[in-house]
Amino acid sequence: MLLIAGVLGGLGLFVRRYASAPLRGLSVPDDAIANLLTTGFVALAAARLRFPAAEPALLAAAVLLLCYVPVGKIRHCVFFFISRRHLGRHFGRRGTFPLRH
Amino acid sequence: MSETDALEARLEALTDEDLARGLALFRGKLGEAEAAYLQTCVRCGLCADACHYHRTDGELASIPAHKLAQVAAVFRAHFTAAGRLAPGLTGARRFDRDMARAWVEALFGRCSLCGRCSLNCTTGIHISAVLKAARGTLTEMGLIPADLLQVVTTSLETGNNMGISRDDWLETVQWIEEEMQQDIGDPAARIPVDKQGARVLFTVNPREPKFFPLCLQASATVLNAAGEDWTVASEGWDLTNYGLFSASPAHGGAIAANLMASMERLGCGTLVIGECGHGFAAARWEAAEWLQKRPGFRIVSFLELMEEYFQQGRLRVDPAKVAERATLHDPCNTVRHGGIVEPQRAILRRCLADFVEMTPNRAENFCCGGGGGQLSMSRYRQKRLQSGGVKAEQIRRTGARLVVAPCHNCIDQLMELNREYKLGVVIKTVAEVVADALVRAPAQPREENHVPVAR
Repeated sequence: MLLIAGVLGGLGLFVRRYASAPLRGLSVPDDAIANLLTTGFVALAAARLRFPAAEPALLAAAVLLLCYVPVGKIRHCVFFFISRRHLGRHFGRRGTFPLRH
Repeated sequence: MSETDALEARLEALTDEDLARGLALFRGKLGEAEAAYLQTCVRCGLCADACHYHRTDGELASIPAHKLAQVAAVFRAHFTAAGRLAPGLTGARRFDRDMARAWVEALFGRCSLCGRCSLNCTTGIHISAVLKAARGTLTEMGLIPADLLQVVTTSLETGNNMGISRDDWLETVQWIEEEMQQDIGDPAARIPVDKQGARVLFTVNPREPKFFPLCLQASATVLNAAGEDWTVASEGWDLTNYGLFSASPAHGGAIAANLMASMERLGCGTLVIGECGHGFAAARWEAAEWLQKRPGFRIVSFLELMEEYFQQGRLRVDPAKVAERATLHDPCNTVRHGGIVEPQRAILRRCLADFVEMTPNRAENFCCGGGGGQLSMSRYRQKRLQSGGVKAEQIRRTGARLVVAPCHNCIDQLMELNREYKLGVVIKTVAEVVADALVRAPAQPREENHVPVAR
């Protein structure tokens, strides 16, 4: 179920990106490729659970995905933590974080 | 030649050597943090609503992610293998004349460096820090609007950003001192000048002696009422630092050194930054970085100091004296970038009968549109006033008749917004509100703390 939710989420983000004019304006080909690679990988992982014959395709998708990580925006899964650490340190040191409401 | 034309001429005259130098300057400003930020954006677009520019013009170019993308495009094209090999795939673009022009428009024309996008970035990118690094590159390439650079140059040449001479400053201080004495009926009240070893050195935004003497008088009234051992400096008294907006550490460091020199010369224990957002952020947080030296004294905002006075029972106020509904504007550099969030609120709750918060408020409050040097860049005036529409609407929704703003750049912008959007409000500093609400004890004989200087 989680994998199916992941696929639906990925497709939803894809539709949202190209249905919204501002997001379309921000987008580059990397956005479509990164989304399709990730969504495809998750879809194949879901398919593999029911259809073992999908395993070669899943492994191929995994290789493609891992090769693409350093090239496209999927790299944010690594850089996210570094950015968050720096942002937190910057605003934390100044007393802005934690936010008060 | 108009300022706009002059900048355009500089852009047209860019050579390949200039652009290569610009790239080298840009690379020099990229530390681990900036490089990580530039690799993290997923272009989700959720920062769009955080930006007062985008909320008022709806343009793609005003979305923070789009501004960041202009900078990231250059980073990728020149400093990443993927960007070099497949620029079309990742949106990489080489740093050429058109790109430099796009940077100028995005970084000076559509950003007040308020940092609200940074707080609302889903992936934790400090967008305004990246934009500031790119701004600094443009400044060092000579691609900075001339009127913004002029403010920096005036500070460097005269010691204050309005070119006020020492004699004029001292005459104004004397005049304000006399006004204060008459106003509060205390001939012993003083604005000490160059008092050696005073506990507090109070620094001032030059707009106060030049245009808003009542603000300085209010601050002096509060300091006298609290019985503070304080002084202003005859030189090195200007707290502003437009090096924060030119984003050049050389500018920022040279200007910040004036305040540090005053502290050393007078031997004071605490440097108090008057009500000025960028001046506080520059002195408290940036100066040590620019100068590569940790100051050997305490640097506080006047807001913190006033709150200390209240906590120590040194000020008595009557909120009934300021009865109209009032709201508080949060200057970006005081609050979001400065971390001074609650002292001003604690003060106003004591001094005001009807204090209401804007929505949103505190670190999530919107920029008034006057930050980032926007007030000094005439070519972007219309855009600045348009972007201030968010703040005007925030104020209108509170129903307040008094807007308190602890920052002179914000006050200038709010005054323009007041006219532009017909808000019908009065705008004051926090010290002015405190001075209005003060309940003064009968004048007591006190020790003379005035050290005369040549005026």
